Amino acid sequence: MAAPIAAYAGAHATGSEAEPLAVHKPQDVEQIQALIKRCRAAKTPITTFSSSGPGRRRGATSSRKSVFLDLSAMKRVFHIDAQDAVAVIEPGVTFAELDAALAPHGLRTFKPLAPRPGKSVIASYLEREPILNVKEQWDVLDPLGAAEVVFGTGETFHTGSAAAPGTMDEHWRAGMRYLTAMGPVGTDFMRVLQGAQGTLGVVTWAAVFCERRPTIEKSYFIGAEEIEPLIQICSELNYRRLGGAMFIMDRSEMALLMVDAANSYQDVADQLPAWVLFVSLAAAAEFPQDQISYEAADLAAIAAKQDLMPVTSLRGVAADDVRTRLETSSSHDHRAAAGRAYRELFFLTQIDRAPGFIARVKARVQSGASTPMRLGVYLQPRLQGRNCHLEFTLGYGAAAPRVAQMAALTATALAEECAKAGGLFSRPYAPWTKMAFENHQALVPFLRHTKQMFDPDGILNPGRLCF
Amino acid sequence: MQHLQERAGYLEACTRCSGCKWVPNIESDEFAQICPSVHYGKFHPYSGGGKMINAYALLKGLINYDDALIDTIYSCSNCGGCDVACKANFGDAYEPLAALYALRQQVVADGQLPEPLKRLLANLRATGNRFGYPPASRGRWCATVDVKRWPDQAADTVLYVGDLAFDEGAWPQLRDVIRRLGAAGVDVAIAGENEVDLGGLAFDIGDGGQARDLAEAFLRQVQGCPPRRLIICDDQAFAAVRNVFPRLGLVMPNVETLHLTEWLSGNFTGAARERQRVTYHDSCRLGRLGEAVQPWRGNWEVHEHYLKVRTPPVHTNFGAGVYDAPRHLLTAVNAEIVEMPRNRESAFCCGNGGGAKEFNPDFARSAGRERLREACSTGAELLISSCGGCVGHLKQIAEEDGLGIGVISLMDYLRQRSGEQQ
Amino acid sequence: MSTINEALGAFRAIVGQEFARADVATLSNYCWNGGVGAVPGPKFKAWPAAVVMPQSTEEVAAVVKACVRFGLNYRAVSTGNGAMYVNQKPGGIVIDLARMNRIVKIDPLNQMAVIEPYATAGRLQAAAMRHGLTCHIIGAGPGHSPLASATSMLGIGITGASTGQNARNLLALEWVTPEGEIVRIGSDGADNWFSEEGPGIGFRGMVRGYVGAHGALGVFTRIGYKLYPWTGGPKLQKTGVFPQTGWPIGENFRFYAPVWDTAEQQAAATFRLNQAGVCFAMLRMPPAHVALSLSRDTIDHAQAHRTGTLPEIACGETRFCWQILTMGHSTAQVAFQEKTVRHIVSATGGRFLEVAPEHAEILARGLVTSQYVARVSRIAVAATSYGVAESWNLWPEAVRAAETLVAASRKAGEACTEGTEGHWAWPTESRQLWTESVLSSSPDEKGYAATLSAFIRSIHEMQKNKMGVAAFIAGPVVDLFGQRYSRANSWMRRIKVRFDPGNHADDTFYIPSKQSIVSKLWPVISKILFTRFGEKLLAGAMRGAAKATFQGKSARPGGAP
Repeated sequence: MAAPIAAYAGAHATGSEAEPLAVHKPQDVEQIQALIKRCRAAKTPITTFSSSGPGRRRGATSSRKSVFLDLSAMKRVFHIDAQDAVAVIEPGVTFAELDAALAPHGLRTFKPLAPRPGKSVIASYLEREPILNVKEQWDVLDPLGAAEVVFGTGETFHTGSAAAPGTMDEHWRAGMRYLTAMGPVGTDFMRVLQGAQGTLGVVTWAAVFCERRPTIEKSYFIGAEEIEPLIQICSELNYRRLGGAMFIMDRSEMALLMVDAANSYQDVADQLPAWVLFVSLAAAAEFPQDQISYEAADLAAIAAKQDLMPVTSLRGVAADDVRTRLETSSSHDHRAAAGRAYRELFFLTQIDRAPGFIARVKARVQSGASTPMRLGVYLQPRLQGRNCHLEFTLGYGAAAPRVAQMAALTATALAEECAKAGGLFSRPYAPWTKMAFENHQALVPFLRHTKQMFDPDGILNPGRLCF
Repeated sequence: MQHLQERAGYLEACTRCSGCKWVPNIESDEFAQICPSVHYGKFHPYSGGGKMINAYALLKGLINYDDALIDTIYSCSNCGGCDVACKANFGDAYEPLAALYALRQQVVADGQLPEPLKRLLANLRATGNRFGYPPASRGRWCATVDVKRWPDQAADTVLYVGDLAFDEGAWPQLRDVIRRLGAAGVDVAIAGENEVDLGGLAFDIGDGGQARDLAEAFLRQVQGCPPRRLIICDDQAFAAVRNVFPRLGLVMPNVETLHLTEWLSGNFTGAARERQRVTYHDSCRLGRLGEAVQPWRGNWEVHEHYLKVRTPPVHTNFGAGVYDAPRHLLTAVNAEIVEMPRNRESAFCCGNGGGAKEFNPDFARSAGRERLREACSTGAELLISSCGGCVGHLKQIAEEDGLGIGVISLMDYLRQRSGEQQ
Repeated sequence: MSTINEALGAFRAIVGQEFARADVATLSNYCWNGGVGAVPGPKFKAWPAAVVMPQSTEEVAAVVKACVRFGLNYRAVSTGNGAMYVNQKPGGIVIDLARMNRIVKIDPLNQMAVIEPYATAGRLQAAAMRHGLTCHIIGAGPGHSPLASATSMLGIGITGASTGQNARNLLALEWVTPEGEIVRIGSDGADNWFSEEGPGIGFRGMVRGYVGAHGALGVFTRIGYKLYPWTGGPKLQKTGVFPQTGWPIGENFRFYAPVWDTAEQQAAATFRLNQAGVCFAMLRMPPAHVALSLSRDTIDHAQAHRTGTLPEIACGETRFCWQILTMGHSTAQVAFQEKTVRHIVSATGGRFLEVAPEHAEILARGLVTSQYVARVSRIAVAATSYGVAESWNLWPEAVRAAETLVAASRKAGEACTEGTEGHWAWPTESRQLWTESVLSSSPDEKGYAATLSAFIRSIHEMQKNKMGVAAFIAGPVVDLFGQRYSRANSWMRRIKVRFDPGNHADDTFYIPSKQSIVSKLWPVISKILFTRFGEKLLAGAMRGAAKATFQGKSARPGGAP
């Protein structure tokens, strides 16, 4: 069964990752439970994977030899309910697969920016990847509902309302839809699992909230030479709960999203305004034309306050086409366009603090003139506008190892600088892990307590986070 | 007068929700507290509900008197803020103010009254006034005023001046009132040196016996020479008639009782002056405690299997005293009233009343400062109040602290603004 | 006693002489049997040894460390709204957070605030409205502490359609652990309170679940907290005469009272209203509670009943009714909302009730501020049941189940509410059902026994009929019913032991340190209890419990730790 580690490598493998002892592709929870119990007994580490294909971020991490638990074959979609806009799925289900299943029900997934084709929906949500639809994310748990998990202890546990006595089918027949993610009772298990990078347990199925397919959808760009006016617009849109997918990018990042076969990246990038706000208006079932009309008028009025105007296309590329692209997983990594490799850096901040970080990063990238890098900026508001995911990409020529190394060093140095300036690394992947936890030293003992409770033998994904 | 034992059912019902600490409809995050006592003492026993808890503990013999208990009971102006705040949702279920009154009666009955308040009561008993001034000095303000002397002489209207009689600064205002009444053709009389204290302060402190003696003395005057109408200048006295007499089981004969501002608001024409920004401080005694209490004896009956209802029905007091009349008067002299966030039934007490200042000057100062801070926040030039007690107290603090706001009595202000000075 | 004196000395060294008190007049106030409505039982239970009032997180941490050092049990209290007894164990230390009352920051652009424990919802709302924002206010009303609600309680309130629920309104938080360490979750200690998690695992979930730990896992001292849009102006204007204070419904707002014949129709309409996302608030109260909300006092309420002058919205015939408040940001949006609400109501077989303007204004003020929710607990035993947070599919069943419960109680000569059931309901986040059926009984043994029975039975009914996970379980009840929720009770106990090995933070409303025999046998007992034969057993047991409660005697001060 052993597969080469290459299939599980991340984008920036260090080379010290250990080959798998074995690869398991379970079909159900019992197999997972049995494996965890066996590994507990033998003190054998397990590295978990839900998504398939080359990872853009993490991949295999353990330098200890471990059993690879690959959940990508668990592809069942147990339930879809249009009325409550929810589906119950296994961890191997990808965005594209779930979208295909949801379409007949008038639903679609809440998506992060351009997930790769093999990306597991559950993994993405568990990793707190920001979704594009800001107003629908009330809490960081969204779009997750209740779930089933096997902890590192080997115990199977049902979170949220799924903890009610009875089977999933019984629950469903009674009308339950697993909408409550929290709990049960005094512990919020799903929240604990989120961001744990698989170190506490293995989610075997989860309810995920879905987006209702809009009756009418209209997308817009608002371009500006400074980011500040777009931040004002974005904040007001969030305040008004106006707009579905919404984000701000610099011209470089936006061009990567817009570029297609007919255009070269550079042509597009050169012609774009320095900053672009993308926003989609989506009308629901009741009087959609009325809704889209007032929302478009309100959007225009909000933009006008900054002397800007929403447009439906920029440099020949329709905003609606970009939206369509955002709705479909692409087999190629849009950021790797034109054969360029990249390093990324992301953290949480607030939208009005973003310009400070951007200036800081720009200054450092520009100061390293000997290693020219393309800087891309992606600002994704979260939680109805309470904070934002700020992501920088440092693009470079794929062929030059020295440049790659420089880019890695620059990204790490920038991470430290941004953390010092108040950026919160809530998803601390290597190489930011150490830094992130050093800044939260008081919390670390409690995280370790948590690890010991759920995974007393430390078998799940060793080496990740502060474990 | 209800004894603590009779309040037991109400006391034990308190849910300790802390509603008694906050104005019912909050307009300002900064000025949201209604209770000057808990504002000062911070711990729960200073609140209305906290005092109910201790009243119950005392009643059940679970706690004894000590300085801390007395401090919570008397670092309180009996302003009734807790009462309206509680009633906003709970109506007549708990009535904290009635508990506060009963608790203080108990303190006095148990001989635990603190020294400063004993002195106040002794003054009242000996001289008929809280200050211990010679009784005859009540008449000094009107020695030269040519007006009927009640109850020797009958009149349609009796003007009751109360403790303003001892405030020389208020004398011109009082004389102005006499002049205005005369000018309006009112057949008015005053009691002068024969005026008696109405017992409001004695009741507040907890000496129901003395309060009753004083009130009955006044009622004997009324019965001996009944006027058609009584106009009261003093807010504490006004509250005594409206709020205390019924609690003592005393009934005012068929005499229409008005506060001076109520009479004036129908009989006042101001002179146009330059507009001035002022804020108005509702005194507790004219406002919350200026609503007539309806005495009640009856039973609680269960309605619809669960809800306890007082039977026979009775009017519940929600602090609906006199609020509009003083504001009409201010408007009449072209004052622009900038309301404080806590106004009318939600007004924050200045801390002067109920014997609180005599017992604990620090408490009174704390409340007064808080009220002045609120007044200053409105940007008004002046704080105006109908109550001589409030004005004297707030003025003193404003001057001590060098605050940039003037404090003046409503009557003085009206007199100044209408340009009619004697 | 010497330990207490020593501890008191330590507390005074931390907070100052006047802020650590041990006089009986203070202690009495922190062992009072309060709560909601008429609370039966002895009024004083467990007298604390001292009440300490710190003014900073550092002082809280020092006080907690002192408690641990002296082996004392402690319990923190914020505004104390609905706090049963406050102190639970004789000789415990109460940490009164009244001096930590700051609204540290309102951040309008990012729709959030930073608050301390004694900042009340009413104050926060007043501050937020100046910036075009409002906050979630739970049913306890404006006097409650949003921090306590978000960190430590259930935290659910009537504007849930647009303001969510407090468990999910929490952003970063500052936590004084049960042993006195200061830990920040989602915040690195700089002026960052915007992140709900991080780094790494969502640690908040360990100390705050669907329900909070009710103080058993330390003290929370500062939080980032979500605020929500408000277009009703910087100050809530008033209409009416106190206490019937209304709100002059703003021009961007509309108030509706649509009604349907059946719960099924109402649920169908609710799905559509939620999908349209047009409601600022949607509240269903049982008609009797509408009547109570519109009455000055119980006399007023009883008279309206007797004279038949109850408004239509407060009559039993209109029980499948919504009070809806919509809020728009532009004229066109208001028009769209109006058109949508009217269409959905009509398309689902509903009609609109005529509501007198003065009543609409009172109800609307109640919707915005939760000011009048407490009116339903005037001098009656007030308890609750069910607590269903799931799909609107369950609404008809929730109604039927509560009706059955009340009918059975009434048949037994007891009454658990006025009307046929006591459900309050709203759509949390315009998505999911929240409902609880409020129980109101006469404040006597019989009434109290009835509410106890009804409460226990409601949780059983929820488990039996697959109605999600019950919200209202805490303390010993967690061991009874939590076993069937994936053995959540055992995890709670593990967490408690891990973070508070000395069990210093009071665990009364979290989980008992040891599982009782009754709870161990509960799987068997419950099989007997919830049969026809068992019903009598349960009723008998509850009568016994009620009798014991009513006959209980107050404790005297001076209980040794």
